[in-house]
Amino acid sequence: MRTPLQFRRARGLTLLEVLIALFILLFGILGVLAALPTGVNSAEWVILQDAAMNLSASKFTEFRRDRIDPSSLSAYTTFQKFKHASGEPYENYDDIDAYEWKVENNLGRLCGIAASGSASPAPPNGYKAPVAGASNSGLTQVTIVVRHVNTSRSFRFTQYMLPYQ
Amino acid sequence: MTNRPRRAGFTLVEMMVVATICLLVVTITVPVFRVSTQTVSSVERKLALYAAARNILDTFESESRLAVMNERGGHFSLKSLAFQDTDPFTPQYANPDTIKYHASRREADCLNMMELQPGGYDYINVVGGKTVPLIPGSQGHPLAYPTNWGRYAEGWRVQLTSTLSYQTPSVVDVDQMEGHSSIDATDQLADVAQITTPVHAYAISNYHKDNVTDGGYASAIRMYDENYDMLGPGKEPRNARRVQTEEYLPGRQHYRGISGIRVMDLDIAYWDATLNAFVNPPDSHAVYFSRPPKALRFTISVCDRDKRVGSLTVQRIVYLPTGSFKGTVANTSDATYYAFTSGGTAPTNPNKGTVFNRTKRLKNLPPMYNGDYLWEWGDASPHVNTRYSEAPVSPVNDLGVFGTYRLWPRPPLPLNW
Repeated sequence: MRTPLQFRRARGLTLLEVLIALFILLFGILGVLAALPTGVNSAEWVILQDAAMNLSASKFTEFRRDRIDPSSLSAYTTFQKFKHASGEPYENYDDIDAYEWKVENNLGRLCGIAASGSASPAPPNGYKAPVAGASNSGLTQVTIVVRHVNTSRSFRFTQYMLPYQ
Repeated sequence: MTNRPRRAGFTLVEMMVVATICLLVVTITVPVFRVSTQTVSSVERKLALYAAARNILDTFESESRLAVMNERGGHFSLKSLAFQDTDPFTPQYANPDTIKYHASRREADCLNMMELQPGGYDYINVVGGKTVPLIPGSQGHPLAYPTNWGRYAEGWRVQLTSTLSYQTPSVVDVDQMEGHSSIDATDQLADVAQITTPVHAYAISNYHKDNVTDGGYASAIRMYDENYDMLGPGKEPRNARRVQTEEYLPGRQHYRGISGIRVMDLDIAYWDATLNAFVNPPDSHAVYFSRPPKALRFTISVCDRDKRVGSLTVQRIVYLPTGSFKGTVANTSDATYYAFTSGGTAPTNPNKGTVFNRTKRLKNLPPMYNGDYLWEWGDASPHVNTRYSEAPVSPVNDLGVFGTYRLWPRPPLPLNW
C-alpha cells in the first residue's frame, strides 16, 4: 500500500514532454490546415474552367461572325486581354481582367481533305476537295487558350473552322 | 538510480496546466477551422452560381442558334425593358443608367424567333383515320417537309424572356398556366432571386390552312404559310397554355418550354456590323429585324436563392447561322408595324422598310397588335381571326399592365442612334 508520501513523489510528464506533445499536436493541426487551400485552389480551377468555356465559345463565335479566314488567326498567337472597355464586347463580364486568351500556334495543320495527302489525317482515297481548283478544303484546327493572367493556369478548347466562302 | 515510483501520474496542478494549454490551442484553432469551413462553403455556393450561369447560357445559345427566318425575312425581334427593383440586396446609385447588373436596375429583355421542326408527326397520333403509335411531335424519318395536313408541327414560335417583361397579369388564374412565374412583379422586384427566364415554344401548325382562300381572306394576303404578323407585337408566345381551344391553335400538348431559370438580369444585345459593336435597343423599345443579326450577346446576372455570395454577371456571344443582317437599326421610336388598321384592307407588301430594322417604342404600338385584340378584316362576313395571344391578359404593348410598377425612366439615347 502506497503512502501519501509516495504519491507526492510521483511525477507526471516533464515540461519538455508536454511541449513535444504540443508540437506534435500543432504539427497535425497545421497539416490539416495546409490541406484546406487545396479545395479552394480546386475551386479556382473550376471557376477558370467555367469562364474559359464561356469566353472561348464567345471568341469562336466572333471569328465566325466576322467570317475570319482561320489562316489569318496567326495574328492572335500571343496572349491578349478580352476587350472590355465601355462599348466593347466583354464590358460587363465579371472579373474579365483576370483572363486572357490567344490562339494556339498550330494553324498550319490542315485537317484531312487535302489533295496532296500532306495534311493530317490524310483524306480517304478518291476524295476530291469541295472547292474546284483548291488543293484542300481549308479545314483548320483552331485552338483557343484561356488562362489566368500571367499564370500557367489555362484551358484549351479546339474547334474546326472552314474559311468563309 | 531514481526513486521514482512505478505508477506515477499527473498531479492536479499539472493536469490543470495541460488542460488549460489544450483549451488555448483548441480555442485558437477552432475559429481558423470555422473560417476555413465558411470559405469552402462560400466557394461551393460560388461554384454553383457559375455552373448555373453556364447552364443558362448553354440553353440560350442552343435555342437561339436555331432561329430561322421566312422568305419575307421576318420573325426575329428583340425587346428591351428595364425596371427598378426594391431589393436591398442591390444598391441604388445616383445614376443607375450607367450601372447595370450590380445595382438596382434590372434588365428584362426578350427575344422572339422561329425554330423549324419539319416532319413532326401528327399530334393526335391519327394518320388517315388510324391511330398510330407515334410520339407526338417527333420527327419522321427521313426528314421531310410537312404536308398541308394541319396537325403536323412545322416549327415553333419561341420566346426567351424575363418574367419581368411579360408579367403574370393579376386577372389570370396562375394555376391555369405553367412554365411561368406565379409571383407577380412587385414580389419579383422586392426579391430579385425570384425573377426567372422561361423559354416558351409553341408549335406552329396549320397556319397555311388558316390563310388560304377557304378562310375567305382577301386575295392580296393569301400566304401559304403562317400569318404574316404571327410574331407581331403582343402576339408572342408569352405564357404556356393549358387549354387547347381550337384544333389549329397551339395548345398544351403543342407546347414545350423551359421554366424557372432564375436570372436577375437578362440583357440581349445584337451585333451591328457597321458600328462594329454590340448594341442594346433603348429601354421600352422593340426592334423587328428583317433578317437576324449575325450575332447576339447574352448578358445575365445570377444570384443564389438566399443571396449569400453576391451576384455573378457573365456574357456569351452567340453566332446565328441564319444571321445575315448588318445590324443597322434606325432610331425612330415609331409605332408603325403593318400599314393597315382594323377593318381595313390588308397590306400588299407587309415586308416594307417601315416595319423592320427600326426602334419602336412599345407604348406607341397600336392596340390592335395587343394579344387579346379580336380583330377582323377582309370581305367575308365578319371574319374574326382567332387571337394568337396565349393568355387572357389586358394589353401589354400599351404597357398598361406596368402601370403599378415603376418602369425605369427611359435613358438618353446613345449617340450612335
